Amino acid sequence: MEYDIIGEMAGLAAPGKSGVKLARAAGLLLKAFGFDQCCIYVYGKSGFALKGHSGKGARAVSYGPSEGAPGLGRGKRAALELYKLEAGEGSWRGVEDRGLKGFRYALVQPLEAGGEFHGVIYLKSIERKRPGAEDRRRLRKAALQLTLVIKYAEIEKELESAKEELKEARAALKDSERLITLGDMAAALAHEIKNPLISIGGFAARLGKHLGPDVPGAQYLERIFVEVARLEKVMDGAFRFIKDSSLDLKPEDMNAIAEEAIRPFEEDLASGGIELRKDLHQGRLPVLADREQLKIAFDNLIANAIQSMEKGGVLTMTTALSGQYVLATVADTGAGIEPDAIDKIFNPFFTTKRNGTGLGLTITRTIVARHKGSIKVESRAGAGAAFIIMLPHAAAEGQAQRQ
Amino acid sequence: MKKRILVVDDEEGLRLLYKEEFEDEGWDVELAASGEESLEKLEQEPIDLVLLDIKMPGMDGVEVLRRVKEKWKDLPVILCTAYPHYKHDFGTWASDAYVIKSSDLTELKQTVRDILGKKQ
Repeated sequence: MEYDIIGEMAGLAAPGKSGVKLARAAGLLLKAFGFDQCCIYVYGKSGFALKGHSGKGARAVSYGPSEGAPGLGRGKRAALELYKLEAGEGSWRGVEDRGLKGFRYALVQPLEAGGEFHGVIYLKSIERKRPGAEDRRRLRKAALQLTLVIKYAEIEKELESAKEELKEARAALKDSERLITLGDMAAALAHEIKNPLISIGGFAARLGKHLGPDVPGAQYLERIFVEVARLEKVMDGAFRFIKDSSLDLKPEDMNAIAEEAIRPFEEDLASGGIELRKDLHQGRLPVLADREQLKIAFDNLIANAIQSMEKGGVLTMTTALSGQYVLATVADTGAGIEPDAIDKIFNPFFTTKRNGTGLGLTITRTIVARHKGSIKVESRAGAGAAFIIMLPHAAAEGQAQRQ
Repeated sequence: MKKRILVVDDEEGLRLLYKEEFEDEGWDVELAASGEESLEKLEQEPIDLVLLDIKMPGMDGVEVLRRVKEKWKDLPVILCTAYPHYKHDFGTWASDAYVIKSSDLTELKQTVRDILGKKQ
């Protein structure tokens, strides 16, 4: 029975290391067609690179895009045959190829699919042994299989690098979350510190002016004024830090962002006995938004909602269009918010949870405000809470700007 | 007649500081502790310039600015806040000047002189 090279090659189109697969393919081809050396060259930006070889004296010879027999085979659809003439050493019909030393016959089979050139199979034999028509037909088929193996490997490589990019993007996102937290802490602190500082420094300066430079202790007042100015500078530096974590606003769909935001919580919802209801506006809800930041804003609301429903309940995600605003509501059926707490829940460091940081809702409100939107809460103790994010409708805003 | 400044700030210390400093400068000073109060004062008394804090509980400075410019579009407003990044907020563009709060009042005083001087 004829050796099933096509079946063997097809077997290589499975996940695995492409280097190993191409070395194996070279071995299979050598065995199937009775040559003395088989090299598989993959064509790339800098020319031909040897990716798999088998047989006698195969060395890692690489070729430029138009160099040697592989270069000659590039751009040709059919196999290229090369003979060494009996007389006149070194004459391969004018082909300069140091890889042909010691051989008498060579065949270059292009690896091509869909008009794309991927490389060559380079077969060499010591004897002048030309394969028959049937073998050449099988070789063409094997070449097609091998092309698919190479293409598959390329796709796999792209997938790997995409995974790597995704990992990096996730790490960067974590960093930006940290920036927001720090930024909001700085904002909260600055507001509480900077105003009294201005009073202290301003009145110290006034006192200095009243008393004149010659009274005993005037230099102490000067010292107060200078140190306060220094602290103010530190505060302004903190503000600059907040400003730097700026938004990357793009046209987005509020529905898509809401869906994406809830997805990571689906397991938590299910295991917590919480039913998820989605009531999304039909059709796009265009907003100008920084997708990742807005998702963080939702994250805090959803996490709070889940925590408030320890004994299960219903979480409802609603989106709607209301005049020139796009609304998104996260509602729960949990414990609700006490009336005396409702005015404070957005304040930094305000929390009713044992392990809360008191920054979640502050961050959410800050992100929403940076989108020129607003957030409000509706709640009754024992009857759940609903947080409503309101952002300007992007189309409406575009119109307003044109007017 | 002396020009009259309305200082709007929720911080008591700052209201007092501004009042004394601007009176030394030769201006009359009225005070308001909130956005709502500032609008009442504007209805009752002739005011030549508003010094407006942005971050206040209740009606914030951006909203006050919007209402002031709707009703008295030629009344100059200086936004005065601890937060430099509000400068990029569209809502603050309608103000006549933007000054970042500091215990050194030199810049603020100069801005007031520039605006009220021009109107004479």
